[in-house]
Amino acid sequence: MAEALRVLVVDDDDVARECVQRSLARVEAPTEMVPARDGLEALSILRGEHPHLAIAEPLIVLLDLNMPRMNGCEFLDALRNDEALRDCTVYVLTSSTLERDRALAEERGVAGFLPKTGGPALTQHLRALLRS
Amino acid sequence: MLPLGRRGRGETQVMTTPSGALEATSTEDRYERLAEEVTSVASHELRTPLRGIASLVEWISEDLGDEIPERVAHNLARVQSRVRRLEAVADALAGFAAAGRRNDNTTPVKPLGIVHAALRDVAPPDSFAISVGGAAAPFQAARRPLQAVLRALIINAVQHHDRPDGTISVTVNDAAGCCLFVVQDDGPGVPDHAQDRLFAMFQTLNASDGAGIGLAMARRIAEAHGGSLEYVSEPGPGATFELWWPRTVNVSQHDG
Repeated sequence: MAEALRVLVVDDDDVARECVQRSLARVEAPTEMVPARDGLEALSILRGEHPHLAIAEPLIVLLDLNMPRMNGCEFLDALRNDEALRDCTVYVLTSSTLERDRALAEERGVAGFLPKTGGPALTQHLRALLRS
Repeated sequence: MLPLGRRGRGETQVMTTPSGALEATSTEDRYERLAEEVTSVASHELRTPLRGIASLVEWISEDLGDEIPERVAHNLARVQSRVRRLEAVADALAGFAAAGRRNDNTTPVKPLGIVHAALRDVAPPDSFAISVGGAAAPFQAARRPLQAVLRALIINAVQHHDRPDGTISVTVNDAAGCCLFVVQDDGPGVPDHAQDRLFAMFQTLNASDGAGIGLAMARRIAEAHGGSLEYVSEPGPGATFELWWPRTVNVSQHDG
């Protein structure tokens, strides 16, 4: 059986995190989701410093941009400056097409954008992403 | 004579510089940009909780399955319809904010050609009689915003008509350094009491009139490009809109 892909979902909204969880459950591929509430928590999980949560390779990060404490762009800056983490694949979860946010994320080398709408649209995108 | 909308209503003053570029006065420009930013961010911030509410309602329905009481299902459907309404408002806000941005990507535009393109976009019902006439020289303009304004005017003429066999006419003319587009219909017209709010956001004449955003956005786009959009009908049936779009460069003269 194929190794499960770990998906670190970084979003301060618990409903948004559950949307991803439910969509992952509908994708016909083994996945494990790890939740983080902001960029700081995500970094501590990725660096193996979190007291309760851990994640192993292979992994991808699904990232909200607007979060308290450390937002998505700040997280991406920290990630790209960390030698051990700079090659992480990051997709941005977005509920709109704010051009400025999109440009800021693209500058930081994200792999793509996923709709934050949940439901079939997100499932379809996740399925395509996991196939690629 | 300058069109009504270009006589200065105390809104953003648009002036032509020697280079032909359009600039807004600095204080008003700053307010305009701030308002645009706030509108855009507010629209964005509305979406996340709205999507959350929609997801929660969906999950409650799924969890209750076939055992869901009829009254609960009815009320959940009412929540969902209101969420959709608010999402439409958020979309409209984002669109309105974007409409204030000037598009400097200009191409040669044939006035009659762009009217026909807008008509093709809208595809009015076959039962409507459509006429396109007049003559105006090609000019250099931002095609997409101009076409979007014409589209909004045609949609408005169709949506607010009280008969399935309405008549819509669109004419083009050269006037006062502008290309003048006149969109006219033989519908019920706009009652006197409603004319003041015709171009205001989220204002509709009837409950079934959609989000009430089309004309507000159309005027904002026209003004962002140095033009104007006015309702010029006399009281009574029929509605006439005049769209004045500045002819910054006359293509035939330019090419000649």
